[in-house]
Amino acid sequence: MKTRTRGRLGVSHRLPSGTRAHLPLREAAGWVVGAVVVLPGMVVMLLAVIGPWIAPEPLGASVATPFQPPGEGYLFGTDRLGRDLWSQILHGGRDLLLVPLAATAVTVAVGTAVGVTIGYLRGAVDTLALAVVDVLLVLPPVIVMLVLANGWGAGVMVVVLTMVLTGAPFLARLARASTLEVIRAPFVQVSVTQGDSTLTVLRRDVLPNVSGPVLADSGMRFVAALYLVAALSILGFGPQTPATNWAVMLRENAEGAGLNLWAIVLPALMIALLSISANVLVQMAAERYAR
Amino acid sequence: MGGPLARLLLRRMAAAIGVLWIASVLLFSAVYVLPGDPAARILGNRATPETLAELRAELGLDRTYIEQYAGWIGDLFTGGAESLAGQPVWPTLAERGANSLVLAGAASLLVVAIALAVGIYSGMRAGRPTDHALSLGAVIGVSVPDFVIAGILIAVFGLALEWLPAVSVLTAGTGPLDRPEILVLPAVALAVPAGAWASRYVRAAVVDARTAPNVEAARLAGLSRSRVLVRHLLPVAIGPIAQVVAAATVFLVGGAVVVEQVFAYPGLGSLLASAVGIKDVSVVLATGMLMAAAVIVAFAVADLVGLLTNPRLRRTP
Repeated sequence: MKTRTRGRLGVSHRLPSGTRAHLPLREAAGWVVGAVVVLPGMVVMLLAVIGPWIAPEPLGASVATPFQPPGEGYLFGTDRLGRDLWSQILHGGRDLLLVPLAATAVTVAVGTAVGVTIGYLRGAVDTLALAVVDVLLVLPPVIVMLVLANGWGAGVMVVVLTMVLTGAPFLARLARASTLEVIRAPFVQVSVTQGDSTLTVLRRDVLPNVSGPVLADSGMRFVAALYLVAALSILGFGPQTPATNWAVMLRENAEGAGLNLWAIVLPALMIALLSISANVLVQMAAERYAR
Repeated sequence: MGGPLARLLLRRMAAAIGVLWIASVLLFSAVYVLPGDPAARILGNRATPETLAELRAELGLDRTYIEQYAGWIGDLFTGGAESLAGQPVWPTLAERGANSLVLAGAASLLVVAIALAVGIYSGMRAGRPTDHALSLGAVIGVSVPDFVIAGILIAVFGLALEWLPAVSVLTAGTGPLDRPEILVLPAVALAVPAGAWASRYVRAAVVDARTAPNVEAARLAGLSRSRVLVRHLLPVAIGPIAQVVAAATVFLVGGAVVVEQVFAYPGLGSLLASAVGIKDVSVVLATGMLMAAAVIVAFAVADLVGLLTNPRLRRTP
């Protein structure tokens, strides 16, 4: 985001970087993280997106006997219905990447907006909103999701709404705390004194200084969203055959792990890599941004 | 009684009950507002407008929102709630709840062990390579969903090596403590992400406590490392650590739903999942309420630990 960081009087409208959130990855050896986590993670993300186009077998096609071990023409063997495991993996990643991504974007937007607003307004609005936020923070997301799914049935909307209800409070608290810190800074007083509108002050002075901590937390929100999407499938409310995803495969293929270990290890590995690399990537981006 | 501490404790209890009440209103309202008619569920395709109205009246679904909420709360306390099949909810809930408590207890012990070991170790070495390595490990650990760990554990230790049971089968009348081996894999799966997450905050609490004046003084006085840690540093850090462990129960309660289902463990989580599957509203409500209560109680206990160990918090604002 390109934001003007200097006001009319030439004062910097950014807080010194020392005041930002604790960043655990800053000094971790960059190339180790890159080689072990980020590179495989990026490959997984790429495969998740282009997988359906490059899969050797069509979605749901039975090609051999169930739980055939690797070799014999199939890279990782076959699954419970004799489908090519590798093809099913390639077909089953897109939802797990895109739905959590969308849910995270909505959650971060809502949480930041609420946090900045109540932090800037303070007073009764702040007190009331904070009370609501604190109640929402103790609700386990999976429980909220299941209660919503009980009424509406499992779907993308239920995941997004659950994320907004249980994830946005984290960001609201974070954004509020940063906002309270920022509005004490002299450059905000300069803007207010020279008569800039509230919207301008929020956009130019507050948001850029809040976005660092917010970005750092977004990785965890993606992890939470991915967890919810996958949990729905694990609990049996996910896509129905032939549609599939890695969590569905993890559940369905458990019975055959003794015959073809890959049938359960491969989907587990894909989910883990997607989750880890997304979190690490976002945190690294946040640290670069904060520098 | 009547001292400032007792008054603070009472006030904290009242706050916990308040939050519990708000949670109950939220939960009930969500189920009330969302679509899904229990009467239609029970009658299925035998439903006619007359029988539907009759059953709705019998179940009290034609009453106002307030009356239904009051009736639900009353049922919660008197045990009058019934499942779709007409069974009383409480006996099942008590049995499943006890099983879940055993699993959550085992997992909590592991979480505390992981969080303290990793958090203290890396906090005492803040800024050094071991600290960075453990930080990266924690970010990785917290990112791996518990059911993925469960899946790998089942595949490796349950099915390939056959060291531990892959499915948690309990015969009627026995509890998980009669077959403790079924607890190992689910507890480990639950504890790794929650422990990794909590270790970050334990580390922060330890780093903070290292610069506390009394800890600095103890170190300058030449006391041994372990004595500084146990006698001076941990008492300062115990309050924040209790908060983190309480917050970890949010992970455990949520994770239990999925992990219990993966292992077919007969607990509250799998009860809730199957109740949602058949849209059994009264079971969903009762289970959800019990789980929310568990989290709220955990936070209240953590606050009490903080109050009891840190006299500075006892000053009434």
